This record gives sequence, C-alpha cells and structure tokens, in this order.
Amino acid sequence: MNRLDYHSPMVRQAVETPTMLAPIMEASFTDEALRAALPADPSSIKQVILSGCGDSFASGVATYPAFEQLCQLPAQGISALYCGRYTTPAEFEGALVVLNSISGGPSRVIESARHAKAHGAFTVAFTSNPDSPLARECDSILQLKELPDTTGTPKVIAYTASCVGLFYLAAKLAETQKKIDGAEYQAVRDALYRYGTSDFAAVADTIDETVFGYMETWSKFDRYAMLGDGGDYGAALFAGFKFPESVGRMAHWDDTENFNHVGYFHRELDKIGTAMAVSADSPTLQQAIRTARVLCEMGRIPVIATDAERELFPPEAVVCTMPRAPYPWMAAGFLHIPLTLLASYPHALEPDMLAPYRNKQHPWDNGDRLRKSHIEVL
Amino acid sequence: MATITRNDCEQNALSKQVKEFAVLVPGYIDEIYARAVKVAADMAAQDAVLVRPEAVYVTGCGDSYGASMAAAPALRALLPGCTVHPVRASDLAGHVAAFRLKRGVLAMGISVSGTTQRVLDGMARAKSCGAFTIGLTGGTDSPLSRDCDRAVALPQPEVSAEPGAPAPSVLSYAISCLGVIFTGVGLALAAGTITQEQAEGYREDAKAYCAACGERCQEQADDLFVLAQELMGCDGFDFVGDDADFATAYFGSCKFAEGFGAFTVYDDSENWEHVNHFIKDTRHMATFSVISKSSPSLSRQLEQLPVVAYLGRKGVVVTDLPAERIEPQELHVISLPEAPVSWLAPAANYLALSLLASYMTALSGEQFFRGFARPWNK
Repeated sequence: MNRLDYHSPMVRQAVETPTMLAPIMEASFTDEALRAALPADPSSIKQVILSGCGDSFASGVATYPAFEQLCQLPAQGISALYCGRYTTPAEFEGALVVLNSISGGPSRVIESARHAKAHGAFTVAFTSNPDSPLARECDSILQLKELPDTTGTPKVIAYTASCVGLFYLAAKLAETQKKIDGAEYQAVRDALYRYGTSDFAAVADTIDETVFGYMETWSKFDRYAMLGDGGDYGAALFAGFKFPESVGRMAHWDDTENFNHVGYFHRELDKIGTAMAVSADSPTLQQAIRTARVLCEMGRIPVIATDAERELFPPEAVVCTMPRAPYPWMAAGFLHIPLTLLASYPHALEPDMLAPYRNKQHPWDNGDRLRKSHIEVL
Repeated sequence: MATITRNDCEQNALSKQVKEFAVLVPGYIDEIYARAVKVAADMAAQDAVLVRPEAVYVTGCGDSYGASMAAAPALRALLPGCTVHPVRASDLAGHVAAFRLKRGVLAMGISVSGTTQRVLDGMARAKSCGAFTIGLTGGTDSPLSRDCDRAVALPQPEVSAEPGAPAPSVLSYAISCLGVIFTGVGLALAAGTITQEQAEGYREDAKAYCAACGERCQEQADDLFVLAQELMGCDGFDFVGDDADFATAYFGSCKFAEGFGAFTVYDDSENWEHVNHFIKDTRHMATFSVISKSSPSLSRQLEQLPVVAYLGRKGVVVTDLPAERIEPQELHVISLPEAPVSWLAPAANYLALSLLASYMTALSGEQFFRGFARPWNK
C-alpha cells in the first residue's frame, strides 16, 4: 500500500502542516494584529482565561501554560459552557478572556463574552470571521486568516493555528507587560515559526510513515484512549475529539495518573487503541514514562507523540518523535499532529466507513442548533 | 442457565454500600463536621488569614478527583471572593505554576488511604511553594496527614466485602465529598461569614439529604434492576453533566469502568454536542445526563435531552427535577430528592449510577477491577 494514496483531506491537514501553517502565521499573527487584540493598557491584565467549545476548548488547555510561563499570570483553559455559566466574578477580575471559535457563531461563546464583559473582563474574539456574532460581542478581534477550506472534514490545521496564535498572543502580552524584552519576544516568534514550518517539515514524512505503518494493528481497534498531562492533556483532548468526528467511535481522555486509577480497568483490551502526548519538558515526564511501561506490560502498546528522546520509552511502544521544542510550553501545541493521523487513516482506509461527522445526515444533522442554543447571562 | 435475580446482584460490596448509605452516612457526617470545624478553628487560632484564603486548590486521584470537583460549588458559595480550583493531582504535582501556590492559598488533598503518591507529591509541592495544606485522609498517621499542615481525619467505613476483594467505593466517596464540603463550612464559620446556627443547619441538611437519597435509591431498586438489564445490550456509555453535575457524571463513569470494565466517556452538555454527539453506533450507546434543578446551565442541559432521543440512543436522566419537566418522554428518568442547599446535591446524587454499575457487574459476570488478575495486576 502506498500511504500517499490514503492522504485524505484530514491526513493532509496534519502532514502538510508546514505549508498550510506558514501563510496563516504570516497573515494572522503580525505584531500589529497581536497588539491590537490586547487592551490599551496591558498592565491591567492580571489573569487569563482561554475558552471555546470542542477543539477550541482543547486549544486553551494546550496553551494556558505558555501564558503562565511567559507572562507569570494565572491562566486557565476552560470550556465555553463553564466560562459562560459558572465562572465567578473573582476569576474575571482583571481578566483577559480569549474566546476561540473559527466560525464565531455558537451561542455558548457569545454567552461567555457577555458574561465576561458583564464582570469587567477584557474579551478577545479569536476567529476567522471578523463579522461574526462573536467578533461583534468582544472588545477586540484576533483574526485567523488564510485558513484553507476544510469544509466537511474534521478540523486539524485550524486547531494547530489556534494553538500557535495563542502562543503568539502569550508572547505579545508578556512583552507588553515587560515580562520579557523585545529580543526575547522576537526569539519566541522566530522559534514558533521555525518549529511549525521547517522543524516539523523535517520529521513530517517519518511520522506519517510511522503512523501509517501501524495502521494494520490500529485499524483493529474500535475505541480509543488518549492521555496527556498539563498542556499535553489539551493535545490528548483534541486527538480524542477527532475519533467521534472522523470515524464515529468513542474516545476516552485522561491524564496519565488518573488513567491508572480508572481507564486502566477497561476490559476488552484488544479493542482499545491507546495513545499519549508527552512533552520532553513536562514536569510529570517520569510519570508518563511509567504509564507507558504499564501499558506495554498490559499489552496495550501505546502510540506516543513526544519531543523527548525515543530511548526514554519502552522499545515496543510506537513513538512519533517530534523536533525538540525550544520552550517547555511549546510542544503541547503540536503533539496532537501525530495523534490526529491515528484518527485520520482509519477513515481513509475503510471504504465503508461513514463520512466525517456522519455527513451530518439524519440523525446527526445538528443543523444550526449550536447557534440557536438559548443564551443566558447570569 | 440460571436467571440472575436482583437479590443475586445485591450480594456484592458495591450494592451493600448503596444499601447501607442511608443509615451510615448521616452518622459519619457528625464526625466529619466536628473534625473539620475543629481544624478550621485551630487554623484561625494560628493565623486568622488562613481561614480567608484567596484561592483554594483541591486535588485527588480517581474518585478523589471527582470529590474535588463535587465539592467545588460548596467552597465557592462558602468562601466568597475566593477562587476555587479542583485540579488533577498530576497538575498540582508539577503543572500548576508555582507562583499560584503562594502564601494565602489553601491546598486540600484527598486520599482515603493517605498514601496516593501523586497526591503526596502535589501537596508537598503546594506546601513548598507557600500554600497552607490540609490533608483529608482516613488515617491520622498516614503519610498525607503527616506531611500536611493540618489533617481532617475522615471516618473509615467498613465495607462488607470478601477478604482480598476490594470493591469500587461509594461510602469513601461520600465521606471525601463531605469532608471537603464541611472543611469549607468550618473555614466559613471560623472566618465569621456564617454563624454557628447556619453551620449546624448545613450539617443537619446534609444528614437529611443523604438519608433521603439512600432511601430513594432503595425504593428505585426494582426499576434500576430492569434498567440494568436493558443496558446490558449497550457497549458504550456516555456521561454528561455540568460543573457539580459533571462530578457525578464522572463518578458514575468511574464506577462503570471499575465495576464491569465498561468503556466510558464524559463531557459537559455543550461540548457533548460538538464531539460525542457524532458517535455512530447509536443503538449500542447509552447516554446518562445528570441534571440538577439548581444548575446554572439547566437550560442547556435540557436542550441536550431531545438530541439524545433523536439519535436513537438509550437515554437516562438522573435529576431532582419533576419527571414531567424531562422531555421527550422516551428518556428513562431517575428521580432524586431535591437537595436542601444546591451545593449539597453532589454529596449523594450518584447512588443510582453506583447501583446500576453494581447490577451490571453482576449481570455481566465481571469481577470488580477485573479481579486484579493479569494483566490488570500491575
């Protein structure tokens, strides 16, 4: 089999990251655009909330550590439902609330914007549609430009771009708050661009080959477990989301410690595909390695996306090695890419597989329910 | 083959915990209350600032992580102006930024055994960063109680189980939830934000509510047994809830996994429609929605229910709403008593899910935790 014959639009969004991401970064995350997204007085920002639904929620989880480490501010990645209905006034005090939605249309992010603004937060619409309801609701806009049209396909490149955009924003906020100087800001910008383009390009083919080579085994699974800690949990979440979307199968997500308390006890291990996102600089790297060993001992051979040394993991594990990230927070924004291929290839390989999102045919025709969901500002 | 009766199913230690809940838990509450209030009073005597934390982090693994989420609304209500963060133990152990765990912050760690390594790691880190630490643990001389600044000694229920055959916990979960909740009550009392009369009122409310939930579950046992038999045709289990209801959904999913090894997923009511809504095998999928009448996202949770039915999934709603509020009618409603105080609901609204897990374990012939037999013996 020639893997290139199976390069579906979803696979391409992963393996062609460098060529797709470069124009997005160049057009969307200029210094001017990032500065315009922040309040006039950036020193007023005391904490950061990153929020959205589905993929956009996961991007906040993957990138909040960048805000904490670069800006030295409390940051959290939370779901839009939590942001809109449960976040307390104390969490909004001096908050920069970034609401991420490619379309800018779902009710929940609009509700979150209203709730955050009602409590005095500064809101940023991070969207590809500057005329969207979300964009109109927020104090500023950071526009995702040059996104390729991926209609009908689970989003991958839009998610990668979202993570990268949030990293850029973290760096800009850090610079405007004088937590890093101009040279360091530029160094972060350069490193991000290089990592998402030339660095990843150097390994993309090998990673694609590794995952495709494992497909004979992987395609026998009909349920999936995705594991990660801290920002890597965001990568695991996103990868987990792709399975229901692409192949219509269940995926479970957890951190590597909790897995040992709960998901470890799942039965029918021969049906479960397990994968992990592991940053080399994760403070819980050793725990992740131990969990990988446990999985191998159980016969649940994991696929591991990591920028750490291959030798750290059990020899039987299938390891997709990413370039070593230059900052501790950075790998989490990219480790989803190999894991996404795990959700993409089964769809491409099985001709009888229903189309992504079940083609939104009955009964999955959710139409515009997400846009019409009742908005409440409490 | 002999028919398995409800009585057969009720011989295991999980069913027995549910059966004994109404009698045992109110008694535990007196102990928990007394100990938690004393710990808070001692803290106030040491330094009044300690009972007015600016932020609280609560952590645990598995069920104890669920308890940290379940108790968060109580802490938010009792400690106004304080931000409350239920966090995974691995996050506290390394991913939560050190500057967030400064003096003026309170960290609570839950581990019934007092030996869970990741909880010990998290609490040690919180303490070293300046936070004041409280361990909630079954033993007064456990590593957790020794390592923390204070310890709330939790009652240790005697679960009638066969020797060497541990069962999924229900009573310990109740005790953990109530331990954190009443530590919050104790802090509020010591800080003067509630009166002694209010604090004792909460204690009596909790006793009455736990007894009522336990009794209601026994009344529903026949119905739950029939439901368990119907659910045996399902292969995937999807748990949905928001905030405190999410904790109950999460705990239910843990019991299904521990009990009979079910593959479970969980999410909030908004994200569900972005992700797990697309699972394709709807005929073998059961969706459990946990909905509290007082939920700030009640309108969103009610919107989700017709979609479950529309998909053709088996839908089960666990709620204290009147059954006539639940639409469409083909959903199976498990009615709960209404909590006297909204934040007490998660302390006991999981019993029906636990009993279902117990019945389904017996019906499937599975052993709890797969009998810790190979390969689940790591």
